[in-house]
Amino acid sequence: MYENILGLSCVENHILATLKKRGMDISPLYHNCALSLREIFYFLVIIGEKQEYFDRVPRIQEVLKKLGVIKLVLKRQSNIQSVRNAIRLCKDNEYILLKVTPKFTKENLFARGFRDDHYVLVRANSDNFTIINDIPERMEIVTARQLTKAYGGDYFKLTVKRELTKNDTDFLWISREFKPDNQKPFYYFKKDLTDISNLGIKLRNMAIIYRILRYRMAIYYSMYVDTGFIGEVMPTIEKYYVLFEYYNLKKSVTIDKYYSILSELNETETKIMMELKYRLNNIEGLMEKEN
Amino acid sequence: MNLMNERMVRKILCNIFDRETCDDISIKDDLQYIGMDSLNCMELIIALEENFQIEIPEDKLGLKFICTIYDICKLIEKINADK
Repeated sequence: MYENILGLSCVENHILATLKKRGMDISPLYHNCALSLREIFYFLVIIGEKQEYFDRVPRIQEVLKKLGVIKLVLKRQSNIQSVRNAIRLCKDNEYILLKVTPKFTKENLFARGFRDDHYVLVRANSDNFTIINDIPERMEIVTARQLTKAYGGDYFKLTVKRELTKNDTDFLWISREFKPDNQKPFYYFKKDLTDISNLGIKLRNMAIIYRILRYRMAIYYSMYVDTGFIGEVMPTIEKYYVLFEYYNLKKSVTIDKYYSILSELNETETKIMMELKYRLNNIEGLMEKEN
Repeated sequence: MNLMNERMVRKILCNIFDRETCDDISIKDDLQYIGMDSLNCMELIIALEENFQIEIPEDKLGLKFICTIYDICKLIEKINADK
């Protein structure tokens, strides 16, 4: 259910997977994927924002709410019986995303749980409940008592109100906040990496966000142009992501090494952005759509 | 497959995943099912390098190369054989 789902959070993953399972093409929802490596670097390395709280790209659920495709309401409920009732009373187009405790996240779901607020999809299953986790994808059947122990204090009620339409897709295209057309080549200097505390972790966090956004880019822009060239470099991008983490853990790594990996990653970024910009500019009608 | 290596690998996995035992994991079980992701895969690699006194080549860094205990042991054997 969660394979090839590219959420930046567990809630995004559940919503994207749910809509996909209902037969919707979720590609248009990746419309804000062209955030540049430069900006991701700025927020995650220079500013030091944590990757799990990164919000420069608007959350897909907020986009869907504005379009009127979904309703998503957070309910803080201490009475577990009310929560169980809410789960049992869900209609076909309604879903509960339940917050679970860090302990349950780690010990039962084997999930990393970067944040304290981790959500799972829950469905009623006769007298029991089925819990579905996004990463790692995992399904567990729990009793009412186990659900009580796992419950983290609030839940989202997700209602799918309608399908995504062509009008929505066109609107998402026009309302893109980040566009390849606006990208220019950018170069890093070694001094950009000096005096940054926990540089390894921050570069790794940057790489986590970057790779998801480039996977999104390959999918989103494939609706308009052939993006096979992005797919071809994804293994390279994966390699850089892995290297940042590897050298972060090695600890005894010089800035030179990080700079070398960042420069190579930046070269890859420049190539794909410029190629995408070129291909989009050569498609007649796309510019008319925007105007 | 070298049993001593396998035992050491299981011990390392117990440390990384904070488990008392990893004897319940079969050698061909996908470690992603017990929570292995790209990040703790790197922790595993560092631990393997330290414990086995090897260096894992950069092109073998990644989940797809070490997703089972069997893969890990085979990789260690190959690196040692190539030394």
